[in-house]
Amino acid sequence: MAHRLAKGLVGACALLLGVTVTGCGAPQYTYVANSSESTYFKVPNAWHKIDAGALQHAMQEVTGSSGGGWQVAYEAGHEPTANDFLSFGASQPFVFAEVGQLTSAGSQALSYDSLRDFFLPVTSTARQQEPAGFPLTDFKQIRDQVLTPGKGVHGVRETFEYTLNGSQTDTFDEIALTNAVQTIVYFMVLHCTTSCYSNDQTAINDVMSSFTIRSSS
Amino acid sequence: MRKARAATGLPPGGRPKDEDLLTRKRLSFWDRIKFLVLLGLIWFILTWSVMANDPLVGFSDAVRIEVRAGSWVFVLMGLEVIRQIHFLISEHSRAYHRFWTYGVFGGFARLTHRRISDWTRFRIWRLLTWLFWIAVAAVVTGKIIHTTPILALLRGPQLIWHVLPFVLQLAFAFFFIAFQFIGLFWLLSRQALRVRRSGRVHQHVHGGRHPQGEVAVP
Repeated sequence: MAHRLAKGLVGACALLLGVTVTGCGAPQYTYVANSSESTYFKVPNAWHKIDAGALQHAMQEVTGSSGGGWQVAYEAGHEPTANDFLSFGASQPFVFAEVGQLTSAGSQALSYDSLRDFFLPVTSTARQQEPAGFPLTDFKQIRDQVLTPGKGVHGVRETFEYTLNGSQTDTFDEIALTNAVQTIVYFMVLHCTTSCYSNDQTAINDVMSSFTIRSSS
Repeated sequence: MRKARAATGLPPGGRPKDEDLLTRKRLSFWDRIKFLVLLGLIWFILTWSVMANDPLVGFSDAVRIEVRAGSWVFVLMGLEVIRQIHFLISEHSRAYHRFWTYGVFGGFARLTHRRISDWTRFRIWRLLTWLFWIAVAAVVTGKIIHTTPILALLRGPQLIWHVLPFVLQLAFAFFFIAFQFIGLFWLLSRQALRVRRSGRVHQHVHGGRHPQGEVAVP
């Protein structure tokens, strides 16, 4: 009996030691979740969250609207700033995610092409429709992939390059998904300079491929 | 054993009364570890809830997250270890036990014994035990559903109602699976009285009380 108790104690101590050793380090990733919309992704632990107010302010300044629904952004490096979201030349990856409800008209008009053009003009039709003087040029498509993660969720992953005013070139990696009944859009975009994108390819792929939707409708 | 009895200050032989012991009565092994086991279990439930709430979180990261977020569990574990060390010393040292029993808690014990009857003290203790377990359940549920313990308590009936169909399904399945085996073993365990006539088994009488279970009839 005493022998069994001693073995149990040793086992418990070993378990506690294992937990302590495992738990000593910081988590490898920061896990970002919107449980009510069943939306999840992860970013490396060293990336920093952008203040929600600053993010809305930056969006308001550039687009005239702060957007709706759930929005969150993270940036690598030591000086994260919301201004990097809609500007070119960010030397560290900047990721932005959003979940938004569609109107009934928007829901009916939603297609794979409209998902491709959700953030910036990607399809040739959308690019041709841009007015003269549109500052983004030298479009280069790197990836065009249709995604069907399951449970009716479907959408696209687009990777492309744009040059701003002929000087700075950024690589954009975006995922735009919608649920089976096309009432919600789940969107994530990551961008930084072309050299940054190729240097941080592994981390960026981890972030992009982690974008998970557990929609039931 | 003799040495242990000598430590209590009692002569050998006979079962000592609690009030005659000069040291604290020894705790059983289970009593020594039960709160540590409970706290360990709570911590693992919290770790599991981190994984259950986010499909991306692996076990190692859940452990790392909960080592920080659930550090209050380790603080409680530390306090419990200190309490058990205190008990252990009290079980071996008369002076230490006397200091705590009469010097520290003596006044409070005398006051409560004078003012409150045994029955009322028992009821107060029972109430405090219930409050403790309700608080533990509220804190753990609050951590799992990401809310405050108070709100977790208020949402308790809703959560129970939500999982009730699943509980009933499990109970139904368990009943029909377990029922067959329980019935089978019940039948097998019944004593049988076999009446043997001229080498042939003629009759099985279930539920018989014959000590041999078999009667030979010529």
